[in-house]
Amino acid sequence: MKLKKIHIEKFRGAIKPLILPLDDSKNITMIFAENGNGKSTISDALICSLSESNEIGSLDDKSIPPSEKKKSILAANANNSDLKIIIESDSNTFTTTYDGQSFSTSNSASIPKLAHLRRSQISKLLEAKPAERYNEVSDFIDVDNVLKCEVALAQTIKAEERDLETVIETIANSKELIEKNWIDAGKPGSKWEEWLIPIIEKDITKIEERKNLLRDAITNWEYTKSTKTEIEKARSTISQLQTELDQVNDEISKIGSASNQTKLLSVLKSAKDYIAPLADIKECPVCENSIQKDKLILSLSKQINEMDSLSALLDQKTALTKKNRIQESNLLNDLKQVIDRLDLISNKLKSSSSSISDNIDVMKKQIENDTNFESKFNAVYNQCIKSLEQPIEELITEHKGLISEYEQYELLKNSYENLNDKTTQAAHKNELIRRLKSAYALISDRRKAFIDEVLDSITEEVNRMYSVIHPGEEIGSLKLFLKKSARKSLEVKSSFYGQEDISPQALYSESHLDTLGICIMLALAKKNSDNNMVLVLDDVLTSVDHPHLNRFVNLIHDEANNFGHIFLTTHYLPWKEMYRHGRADKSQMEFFELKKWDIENGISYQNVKTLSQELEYLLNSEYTDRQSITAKCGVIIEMYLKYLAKKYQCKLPLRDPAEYTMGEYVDCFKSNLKNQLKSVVKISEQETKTNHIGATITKLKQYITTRNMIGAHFNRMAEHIGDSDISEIVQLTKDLCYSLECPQSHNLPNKRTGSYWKTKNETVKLEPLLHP
Amino acid sequence: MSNDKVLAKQITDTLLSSNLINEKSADQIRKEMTDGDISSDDWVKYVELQMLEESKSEEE
Repeated sequence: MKLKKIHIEKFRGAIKPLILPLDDSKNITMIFAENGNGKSTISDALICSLSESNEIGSLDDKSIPPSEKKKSILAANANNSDLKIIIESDSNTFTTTYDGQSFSTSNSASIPKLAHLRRSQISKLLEAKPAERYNEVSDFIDVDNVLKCEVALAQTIKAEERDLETVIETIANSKELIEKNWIDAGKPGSKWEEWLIPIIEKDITKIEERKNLLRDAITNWEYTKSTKTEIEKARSTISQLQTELDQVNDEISKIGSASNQTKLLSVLKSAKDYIAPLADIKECPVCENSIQKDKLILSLSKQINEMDSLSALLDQKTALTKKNRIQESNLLNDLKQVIDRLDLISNKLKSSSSSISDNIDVMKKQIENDTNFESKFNAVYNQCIKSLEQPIEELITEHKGLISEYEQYELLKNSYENLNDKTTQAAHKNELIRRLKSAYALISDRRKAFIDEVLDSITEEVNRMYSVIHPGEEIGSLKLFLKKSARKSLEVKSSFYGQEDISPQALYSESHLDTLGICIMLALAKKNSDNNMVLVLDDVLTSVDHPHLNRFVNLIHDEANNFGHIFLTTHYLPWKEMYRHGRADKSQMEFFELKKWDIENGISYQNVKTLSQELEYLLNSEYTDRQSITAKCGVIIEMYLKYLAKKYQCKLPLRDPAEYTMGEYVDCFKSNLKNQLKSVVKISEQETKTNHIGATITKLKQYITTRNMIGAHFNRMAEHIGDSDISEIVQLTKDLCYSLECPQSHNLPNKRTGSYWKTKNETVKLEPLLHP
Repeated sequence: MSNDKVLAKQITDTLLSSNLINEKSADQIRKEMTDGDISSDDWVKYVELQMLEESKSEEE
């Protein structure tokens, strides 16, 4: 995924909105700045926005409390809601916001993969312990989801083994129980199975039926026995009620010795009840004398009240009589229940215990026409039940025996069934565990092999990259492998001048470790890139000499097409100057230089120009600065003459340092070379232009003084040199630039072919290949 | 393609060829393994399914 624009607002050093419009045609962006001017803000913004794991970039390396880290995410005086990072790609726009705890990015499903490397990670990668080293590369080699399933499988095996132990224990217990019963039974047969199987296979139905029949008979028997107390209690209550009733009757008869008192009260009450509801009664219905209703009612009430005690006794009599009647009815009912229960016992035992049935039947006949409760009670309890005590007791004993026999049958049967079930279950579990273990071994081996394969393929790639940066050096042969005894520990070994399997951190120089770390991360990122990844290399190089830097830069350019976009930040000036002086390929590269950061403006930038672009800039400015223009021309001329002198191995005096004047460079080109020295530049698809560089060099000889007097050592003689001379030296400088630089990338023809030199994109061909 | 996805496929194929899982559940296992979603109960279920299928074919 190619990025098109980065907008950073109120994030770390971006006090004011920083917008970096990126060139569509270039997939490497380089940001140069001295430390403290905002490089890490830009790379951290990419990490916070595009990283899956809510990382906060370079702040993760700093040993400050988490709360301070969170504060440091915001620009000075900004609130959480002010922070905004917008990244536009060729297919999407990703907007990142911050809630004070974490970042969230829109279009999360389409976010491109991101890999990033900072200097601190290089040291962790190579100098940390194996487990920490693994963490640094875990994003690339982790198979955490598969590992999770593998761990679940290991737990399954343990759980199943525990289950199996329980099953085996149950089998042992069942077996022990059966054997104990067998021994108690006197060990009949040669083994317990011979004794047990007939027992559990016999028909238990009859025993069960008899047991149930006796159970019902005994239950009814217990009922009849327990009801006796209730009935006796009820009889006592009735007797008490009768006594009370007799007493009330005595009292009534005493009051009613003038016997008509009771009848009179009744007549008076009846007369009152009759007269009271009649509205217009005028005469007595008995004597037909004239009456006054109100007076008569008053008189009747008076007489009735006077006879109150008699009335109360009559009420008490009525209540007692009623209560007595209920009790008698209940008593009869209870006794009937008992007789019914005895009848049930008789029916149940008719076939097996006829004497019991006979006794009950005799009792039933005896009381059949008897209406006297006492004689019935006597027949039931004192005769019948008493006679049944002994035979029923025998039935209870028989019932107990049957229960015991049945329970033992059930116990043995269940134990035997349990034994069989659990034995089957144990066989199943054994097989299941065997298969689970096979699966575990297979998964575990495959996972380790997979990571080893990934590491092997990366190792190969790392060694290839490393040999590109360090050709011919007897170091490298890197080996990355998982530590055997641990799941997540990464070992790293390499060679050093004949010594194999050494830890590189022990013998390698800092710059060799830097480039090794970068190669490992590059190879890992490349493997996971799918040509689409955004790769951020944040200030990874500090001190590398020119040849190694050249090769490293070439490597980055060669690998760029394996990624969607590469972001490089550096404070390393020689790296920047390589591009500015045309010593590195700029065809894929866009270059920003950050200006000095300040609290008011935050981060600001300028596009870095090549020397020829700087000359154009001077020529196009409103004011013509003769000295600056001539000086710039001199720098460019010397740079390109040096380039050509090196290419054709022209002779120059041996000197230390190997710095030469423009005059010395101009003179080092022999005429036979100058005659053949030319370039063919492709201006458009159809048009090419041939430039005779030798002729340009010859002409330059006339302007050495001009360049020195105006551009290098300005003095009063320069006042006599007209602008036409300056125009001429500018033109010759441009001729040199146009002859050697690719019109698009400003690259130089450094690729060797069979007969000429060419730029990477073949826009410039330089002849001859060698000095004639 | 993620490492998990690639490895899950390799493992599922190997489990299948070793007759430790059944073809009917292979796709499900591959998917769940890629997402790290196979629980202890699932493992028992998948292996038992294969055992059941084997005993069925033995009976036939």
